[in-house]
Amino acid sequence: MENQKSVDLGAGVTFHWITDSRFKSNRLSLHFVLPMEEQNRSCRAILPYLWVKRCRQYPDMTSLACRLAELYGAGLGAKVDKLGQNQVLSVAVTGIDDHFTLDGEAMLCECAQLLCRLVLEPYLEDGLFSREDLETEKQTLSDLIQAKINDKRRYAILRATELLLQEQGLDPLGTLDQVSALTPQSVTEGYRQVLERGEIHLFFVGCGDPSSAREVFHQALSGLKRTPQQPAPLRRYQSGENRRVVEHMDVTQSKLVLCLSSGLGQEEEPFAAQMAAVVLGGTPSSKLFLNVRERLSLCYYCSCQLAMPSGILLVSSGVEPQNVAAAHDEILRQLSLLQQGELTQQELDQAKKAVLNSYRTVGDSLMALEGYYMQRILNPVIRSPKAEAELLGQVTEEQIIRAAQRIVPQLCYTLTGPKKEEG
Amino acid sequence: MEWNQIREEKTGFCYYRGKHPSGLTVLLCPMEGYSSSYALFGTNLGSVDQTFKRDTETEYTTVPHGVAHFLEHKMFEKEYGDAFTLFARTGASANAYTSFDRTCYLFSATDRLEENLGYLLDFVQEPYFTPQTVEKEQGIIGQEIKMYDDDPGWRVYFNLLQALYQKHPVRIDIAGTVESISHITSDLLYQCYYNFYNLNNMVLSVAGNLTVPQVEQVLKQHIKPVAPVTVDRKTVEEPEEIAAPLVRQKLSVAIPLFQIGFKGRPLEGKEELRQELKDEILLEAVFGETSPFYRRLYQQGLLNQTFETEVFSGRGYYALLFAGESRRPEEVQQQLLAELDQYPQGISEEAFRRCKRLLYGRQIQGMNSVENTASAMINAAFAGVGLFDALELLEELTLEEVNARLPEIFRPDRCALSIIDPA
Repeated sequence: MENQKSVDLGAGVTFHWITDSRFKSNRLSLHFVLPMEEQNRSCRAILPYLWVKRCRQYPDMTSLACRLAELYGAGLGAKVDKLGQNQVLSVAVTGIDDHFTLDGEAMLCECAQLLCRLVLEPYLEDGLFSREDLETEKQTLSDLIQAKINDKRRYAILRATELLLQEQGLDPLGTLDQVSALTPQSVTEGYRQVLERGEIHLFFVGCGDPSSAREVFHQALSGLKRTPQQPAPLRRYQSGENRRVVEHMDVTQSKLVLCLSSGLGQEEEPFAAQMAAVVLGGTPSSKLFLNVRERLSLCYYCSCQLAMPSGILLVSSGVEPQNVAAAHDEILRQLSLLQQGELTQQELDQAKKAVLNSYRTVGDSLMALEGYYMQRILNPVIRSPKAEAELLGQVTEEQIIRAAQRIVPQLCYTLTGPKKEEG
Repeated sequence: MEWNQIREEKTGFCYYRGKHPSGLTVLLCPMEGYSSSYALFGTNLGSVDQTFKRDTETEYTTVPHGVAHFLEHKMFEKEYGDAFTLFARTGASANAYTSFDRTCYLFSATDRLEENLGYLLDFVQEPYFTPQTVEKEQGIIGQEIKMYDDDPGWRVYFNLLQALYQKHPVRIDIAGTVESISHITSDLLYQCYYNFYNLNNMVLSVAGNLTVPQVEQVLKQHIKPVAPVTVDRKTVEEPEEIAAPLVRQKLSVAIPLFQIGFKGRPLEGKEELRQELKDEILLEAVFGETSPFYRRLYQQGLLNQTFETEVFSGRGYYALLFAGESRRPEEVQQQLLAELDQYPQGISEEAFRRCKRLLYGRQIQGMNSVENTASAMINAAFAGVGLFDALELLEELTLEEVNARLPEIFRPDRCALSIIDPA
């Protein structure tokens, strides 16, 4: 695999590419990165969902879907995400390479052109996004906001993070009220702002020739008048007081989420803290899995991860309601043992090997590669998965213990069954 | 060991199939340049295998629901501890799953393939069950079952299967119930193990960073030959009629979830694969994103982007499933049934050609991934077909046979609806 390469196309547009002959497909994606503006979240978040429905050339969703089917079932995806305090609006097309077509079509160029048309030549009526599209996509966005509740494990993590980070924990999709207030005018204005101000990152990952995609992108974007805004700098969470929150919902199994501050400084490399999270709860041979789940049978799952860029450690566990307190205490006891230096050579070796394994696997998937680099796009230094894995591999036992000693509990969040009536 | 090389001309993709003297079927796909390898070691014991006997026995044994899944969990526990710890030594990530008609143990690794493969083969060939460990597992699996009780996506699915099937064990949760697993004993686990975990009934599938001689060497050292066992499964006489047209449940969801199913007749081998391909084309052409149906319901706000269709098939069961979120699920079902009247002559030549291209593209895209390839090989082997048979059959399919299938499978009297309403 070649390393990722980037070229500045001017006016806040960067083209990134990774060529790899192993793949049989190419994935092209376009990402707008903008500082999150609380009030403008929804009028921007709805755009990717409008873009993938139709465009001037394919003026209804069926003609667009038929075009994608003709392109050998090319996949089209829209996504809204956050990167620190920035909102990221993304659209991606994945299609098989020219080499594997039945009739010799120039798939890569066709896919690149389609992507540009969807974003730059949207379907408008009298210069505005159509009311009909807006109403259906408002529903899509509201449904996405509301559907977070369905997966209780994920919901508990999202809710705990939101409670901890407050304004930094804003949902990039916006709120239900914002969505319902959207109008063709406000969304079209949002679109104009995104095109003008968003930093644009274009990605190519695949086996084809990146220069043909780059040429299509360059031509399509060169006509835009742009004054790109600097993305918001990434900020680490600064610790505050320790809190406890219990919320009730109709669930049989309770969810316990502990948010802990890693104490990482703004510019500090996160590798030791990341390894501390792995030995604590990142693998089936970690302290939390082997003790909270296996030895004491206190929960069905118990794992830990370092969330970046905030630098918060999230411990997430599915527990029987009567075991919540015991699981909580055991999680903190395991942390405290690590802080006191209880870390065997075997635990360290196993954690490192698991980390290396997951980093090496990144290169084997188009989506994972794009996701890896996109997550780091605002970092001062962007390293390849291999280089980052090497740095993680060099972390010593002492560094992990010192990193663990800086970990402080911030929020204990429990999602549990309905309150019992008293008496 | 003799190897049969199987090659797909268009893609140049090839894999090797061999029969080990022990009876084990081995499928290997070396994928040049990939860092990771993915291995699956599976047997055809699933949750539907409830009543069976050896060919040397006269009486059938009926086991409690959830045995296959319980056995899968217990296979990781050994006298020396947990089999996960073996893989932790190399950093590989190991796991297992039980479905309706098979159990598979797997790992993904980027290093020391021989060592990992040795661990995988060893731990699955060495059962170790005691009354104490079985009792402990009853607690852990009980928690897993409760976790799924809260999962609306899981409930809407099993409620539909209960509506479609009157007798077939496919209607019962794969993990069983807290009650059914309370009857599991270590003796019962040994009985199931020795009947079904016989190398003659098992398949090893490995894709990615590997060579054939490398795997052959591991097989020589780690396969422990046993006498072949033939198991006779008692056929369940499942009526063609459904059990109930509608089933609903309340859980905490924001938007109602629904699943609609059409019960069909299961076939075997290539006949089954041909039927699946025909139905996939119909699902795509009549109800997929390229269809007028999808556009209309999407614009009416009856469907959102979560809508998906699936061919659900396995040993003794076959159905077409539709799943999604909708505020008016009954209306989705009514319109879905009414839509069939729009196709008195079947789908058009153009739609047929387009959907074939789409399925072709999906097949090629699947070959990008090490995990997909290993999984596709083992799925094909258990279904009694080859990895490239789908591509071949797709080429052969005619519009006439696809259209003949339309009235056969989409029968209103074989259709059931499952709804999860907000609590």
